[in-house]
Amino acid sequence: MCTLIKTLKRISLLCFTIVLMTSTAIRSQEMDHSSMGNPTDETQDQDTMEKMNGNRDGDEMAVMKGKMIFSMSCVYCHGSRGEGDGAASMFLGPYSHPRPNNFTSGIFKFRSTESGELPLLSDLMRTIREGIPGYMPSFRNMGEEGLRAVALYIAKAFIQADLPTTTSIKYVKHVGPYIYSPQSVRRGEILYGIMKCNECHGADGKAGRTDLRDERKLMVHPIDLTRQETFGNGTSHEDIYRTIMTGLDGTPMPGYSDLFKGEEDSAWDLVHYILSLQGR
Amino acid sequence: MPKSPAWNVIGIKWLISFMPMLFLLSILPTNAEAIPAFARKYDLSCTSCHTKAPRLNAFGEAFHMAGYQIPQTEEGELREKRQIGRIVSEKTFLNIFALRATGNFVESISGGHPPETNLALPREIELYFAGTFTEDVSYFFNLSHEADTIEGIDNGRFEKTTAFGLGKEFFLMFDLSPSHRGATNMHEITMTGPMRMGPMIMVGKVDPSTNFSYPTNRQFILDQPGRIDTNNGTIQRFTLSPYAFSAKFFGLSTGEGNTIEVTKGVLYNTPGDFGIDVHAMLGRFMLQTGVMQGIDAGSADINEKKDPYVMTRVNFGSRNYFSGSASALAYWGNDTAKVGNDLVDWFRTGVSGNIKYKLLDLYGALIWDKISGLPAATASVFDETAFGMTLESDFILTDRYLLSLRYDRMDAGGFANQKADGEVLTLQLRKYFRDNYAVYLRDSVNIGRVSTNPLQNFRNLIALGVDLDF
Ligand code: HEC
Ligand code: HEC
Repeated sequence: MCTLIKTLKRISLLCFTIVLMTSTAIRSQEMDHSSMGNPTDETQDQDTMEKMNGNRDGDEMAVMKGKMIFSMSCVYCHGSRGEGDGAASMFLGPYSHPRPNNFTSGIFKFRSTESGELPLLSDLMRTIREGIPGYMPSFRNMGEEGLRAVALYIAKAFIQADLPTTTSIKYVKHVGPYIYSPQSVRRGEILYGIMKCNECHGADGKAGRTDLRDERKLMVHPIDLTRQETFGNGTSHEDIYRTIMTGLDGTPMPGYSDLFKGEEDSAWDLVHYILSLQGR
Repeated sequence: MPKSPAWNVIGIKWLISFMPMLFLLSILPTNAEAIPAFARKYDLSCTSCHTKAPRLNAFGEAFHMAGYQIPQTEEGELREKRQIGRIVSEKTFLNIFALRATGNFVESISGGHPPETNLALPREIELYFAGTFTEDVSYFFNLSHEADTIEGIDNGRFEKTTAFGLGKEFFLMFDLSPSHRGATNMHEITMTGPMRMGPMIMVGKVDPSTNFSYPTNRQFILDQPGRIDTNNGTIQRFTLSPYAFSAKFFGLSTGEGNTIEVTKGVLYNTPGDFGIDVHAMLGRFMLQTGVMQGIDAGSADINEKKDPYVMTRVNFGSRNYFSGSASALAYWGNDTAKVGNDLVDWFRTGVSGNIKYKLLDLYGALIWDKISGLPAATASVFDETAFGMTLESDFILTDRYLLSLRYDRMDAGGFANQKADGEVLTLQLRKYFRDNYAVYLRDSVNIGRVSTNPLQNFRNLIALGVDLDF
C-alpha cells in the first residue's frame, strides 16, 4: 500500500514536471515567434490575436466585423488598403498636416509606447473612441466591442505585425505629491525652458515655428498650447503626460521619456504648466 | 475672351474701386476652425465632409446618405463627446443650427442692353436646423430669405420678389433598414451580406437631385439674378444658372399659369419641392425613386397627376485619393406644365458623373427634355425637345484658394419665334478666409451670340460676392 502510494506520488510529480516544462517551452517558442514577427504567417497572426485578448474564434469573428465597420466608416478617409489615401483624405489637409496616416508604415502618433514603437491595441481603441478634434469623428457610440473589432482589423490587415502588449514607459499616477499646485506650475515653467519646448512652441506656447514638416514633407504647425481643445492626443492630465513622454511619431514633436527617466514625476510639473496656459 | 469696349471701361473702373475692399478682406483674421452645425456637433473641420462647403467629399456623401449620421455608429444624437478633458452632453442649440449668407456685393454686366453696375447686399440668407431625433429619424429644416428672385406671372410676364419662408428643403427622413441593433452576437452582425444603407424615406419638401452625381443644390458658382423691366414686367435677362438643370423651354407655364423662367431649376433638378423620396444603397449601387407634386404645385395638391422618377447611381474608388460616381435619371412629368391653356407632359432623362482625384473635382450633367401632348395648333411652331449640359471643374489651389471653371450649354426648345440657345463659360476664384467664409470673384462670359433675347442679353458679367456659413 505504502509503496504504491509513493510510486503514484512520484508518477504524478513526474507528470506535473513534464507538463510544466513543455508549457514553458511552448510559451517561450511563441515569444520567439512574436519577436521575429513573420507578418505573412496566417496562423501565427491568429496566435497573436489570441494571446492579446480572448479566444481564437471570437477574434476571427471580430476581425470580420472590424472589416465591415472599416469599409463603411473609415475607408473614405483611410483608404481600402489603410494607406491613408481615401477619397476624402486630401481634402482634410490639402497642403498641410494632418492627413490620415498610412497604417502600413507603422508610424503612429498616439501611443503609450516609446517613440518608434507600435501602439498598443488599447491605444488604437482610444483614438477611435475619442476621435481627433477637427479631423476624425468620435466613434464612441460604436461600443467597446466594435472599437476592439476595428482596431484588431487594422492590426491584422494593415500593420501586419504583433502589437506590443506592454510599454516600458513609466506612468506615474497623478496622486499625492504630484497633483496640481502653483509651485508645480512654476517648476513646469522652468522645465519648459530647459527642455527647449519653446524652440518650437514659442515662449508663450502659442505656436512659434513655421518651418516644420512631417514625415510626408507636409507643413506642420506646432500646436497652440493655449488651446487644449485642439490637442489630438487628448486633454486630460494623463493624456498630456503621455504626449510628452511618447512624442508624436511622424511629426517633429519628440518623446521625452529618456530625459525623464528616473524622474518621471517631474513630468507632471510640465503638464501643470501647459494646463495653466489655457485661455491665455 | 471677347471684350466689348463697354466692358473695358466699366470693368476697369470697377476693379479699381474694389481693390481696396479685397485688400481689407484679405487682412482679416484667418485662423480658427470652421463651425457650422454638424462640424460643431462632431468637433470636426468643414473639410472632413466637404471638399469645400457646400460640395461634399466621399465621407460627407456617406454621412448624408446615412441620414446625417456617421455610418456604423448608429447613434441617433451623438450624446457625448470629449471636450476639454471631460465628457459633456453635446445637446446644445448650436449643434443643430446653421446659417448661410450668400450674394454679390457688386456686379457689372456688359454687352447687354443696357449695361449695368450694381451694389448689392448678400441676397440670400438661409437658416438650417438639422440633426437626428432618434436613431432612425432625422430632420432637415431650412428657412430662407431671398431677395431679388424672379417669379413668373401670367403670359410671359415676370416680377421680382423678396421672399421669406420655407427654404429649399424641409423634410423628415426615416431609416427603414433592418436594424443591426437587435443582433445579439457578432455572428449575426457579420453575416448580413454586402454593405448597405437604407432604405431611407424622405417626406416633405425635398431636393431629389441631392443624391445625383451632380447635386443641383451644391454649387460653388451661385445663380446670378436676372433683370426685369419693371414698367411692363418683361424680362430682359434671365437668371444665370446651370443650364443642364434648367427648364429650357420658351413659352411654358405652370399649372397655375405662371410663366416658367427658362433658366429655373425644375423637375428632378428642382432645388426642392413637395414629394416623397426613397433611396437605398447596396454595395456600390444606389437606387432612388420618388413622386413629386410637379412644378410650383406648393403643398396644396393642385396637380392631380403626380410625377414619378427613378435614379440609379454607382460609386467607385476607395483608394489612391480617387473616388467617383455615375448616375442616370428618368422623370415623368405628367400634366406638369402648360403651353397656352393646355396641359402637357414633360419627360426628362439625364446622366451625370463625378471624378475626384486628389484636389481636383470634375463633374457634369447632360439632361434631355421632351414635351409631349401638344395641342395640334402649336405643334408645328413649338420645338418639343431641348438639351442642357453643365460641366464643372474645381481645383483647390492652396489651403485658401479654390479655382472653378464651369461650362453651360443650352439647346433650347419651345416656341420657335422666342427661343434662343445659350453657351456660357464661367471662371471663378474663391478665397477662403476660413473654411466657412469665402469671398469670390467671378467672370461669366457669354461665348454664344449676344442679342436682345433674355438668354443672350449680356456679353460679360463680373461679380464680387461672399459665401458665409455659420
Ligand atoms: C473624416 C475622416 C476620417 C474618418 C472617417 C476616420 N478617420 Fe481615422 N484619422 C483621420 C485623420 C485625419 C487621422 C490623422 C490625424 C492626425 O494625424 O492628427 C486619423 C488617424 C487615425 C488613427 C491613427 C492615429 C495615430 O496614432 O497616428 C487611427 C488608428 C484611426 N484614424 C482609425 C480610424 C478608424 C478605425 C476609423 C473608422 C471607424 C477612422 N479612423 C475614421 C481621419 C479619419
Ligand atoms: C521640434 C519641435 C518641437 C519641440 C521641441 C516640442 N514640440 Fe510639442 N509639438 C510639436 C509639433 C509640430 C506639434 C504638433 C503635431 C501635430 O500637429 O500633430 C506638437 C504638439 C504638442 C502638443 C499637443 C499634442 C496633441 O495632443 O496634439 C503638446 C501638449 C506638446 N507638443 C508639448 C510639448 C512640450 C511640453 C514640449 C517640451 C517638452 C514640446 N512639445 C516640444 C513640435 C515640438
